[in-house]
Amino acid sequence: MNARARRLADLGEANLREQVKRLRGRDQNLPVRFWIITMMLVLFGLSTLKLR
Amino acid sequence: MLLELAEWLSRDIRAFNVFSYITLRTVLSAMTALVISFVIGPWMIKRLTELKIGQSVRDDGPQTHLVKAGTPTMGGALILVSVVVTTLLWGDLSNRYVWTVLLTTIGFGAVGWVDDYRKVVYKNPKGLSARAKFFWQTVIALIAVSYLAYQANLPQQTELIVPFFKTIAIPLGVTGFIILGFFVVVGTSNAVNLTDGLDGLAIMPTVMIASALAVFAYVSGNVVFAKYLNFPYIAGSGELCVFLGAMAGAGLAFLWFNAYPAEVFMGDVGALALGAALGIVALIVRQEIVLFIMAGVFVVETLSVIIQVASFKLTGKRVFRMAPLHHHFELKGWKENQVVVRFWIITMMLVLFGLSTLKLR
Repeated sequence: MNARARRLADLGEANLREQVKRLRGRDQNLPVRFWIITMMLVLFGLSTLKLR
Repeated sequence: MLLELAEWLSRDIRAFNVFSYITLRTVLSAMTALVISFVIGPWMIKRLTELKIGQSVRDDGPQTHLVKAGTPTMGGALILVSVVVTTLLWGDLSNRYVWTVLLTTIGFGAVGWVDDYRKVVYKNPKGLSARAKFFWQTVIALIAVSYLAYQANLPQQTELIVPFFKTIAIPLGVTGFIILGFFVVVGTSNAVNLTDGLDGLAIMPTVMIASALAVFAYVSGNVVFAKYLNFPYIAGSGELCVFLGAMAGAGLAFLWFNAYPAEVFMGDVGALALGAALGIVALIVRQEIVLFIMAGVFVVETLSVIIQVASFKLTGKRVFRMAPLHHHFELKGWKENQVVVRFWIITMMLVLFGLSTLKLR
């Protein structure tokens, strides 16, 4: 695959989940882990209620 | 520990006063427990794998579960370590409720540990005998519940609060409180243990219920909110938010490793301890009935086992394809992930319903 074709392929799989899937070779627990990250971010967001 | 340090520092630097707020310490304890679990988790899973502390899978269960054999178990120890360390860091260590909950959790965790250890290290499939397990659960629960009953100095600390009814509170007295408390703590502990049969099935509802109980603990421990929402004021119960925050944080981090396909199982050490923790907290904040509602999935899973056994003994017929209930749905053709996420959704709805009792009364 030449550089241009590879760049186009990369753009086609630009979502983070696709990148992680490609790196790890599996994706079954990916959604749950993304949910956990969101929950952590929500928790962090909630802490701004008091931390100001 | 850090609270004392912050109080000491706040004499010179007023900004440290911010750590006296329960809400902030709850968020920080959740984050701390998350970080501790994420840091220790991979190391612990590696050690458990090296020590060959792998789960044995029931051979009469769904065939799809046979691939899980050998997955490291006793991961609940990770949750316990995170929760205990975090609570000791952020909690008010002069609060009697914090110690009651911590010691009960550790006690039930110890019973689970012995059971798991015998099963996986000594390869004794029976582990701790059912009778011995129940005996030790009873001893720990009775000590904790009796302590709560005898230290109660206000009637509302031993009344059974009926949700949705503003004026109905059933006085239980010391004996009634101890009997109810025993069933709540031991029942919840075993119910979580029975539910812990699919990847992530037990931990996420535990996290959701713990988070909801933190709201109840905060309200019960705050004079203004308790009065406004017509809740019994239980001085000091607000501090349990820090423990529950740690439980939610450690639980979420555990789910990272326990999500399908699980890298580690919690084992009895986690399931028994987490269940007991939910039970004893609900007892302190006087929300046993609300716990019963929110923990509907645990309740139904337990009932499915009771019904299955009773039906088979009485009539020789099975009501479900397999008990506990999650296996029934698996055998009906649901994928493991579907069962798990659908049970989470049901718990979410039940938790919301439970939280509605804050206002609907």
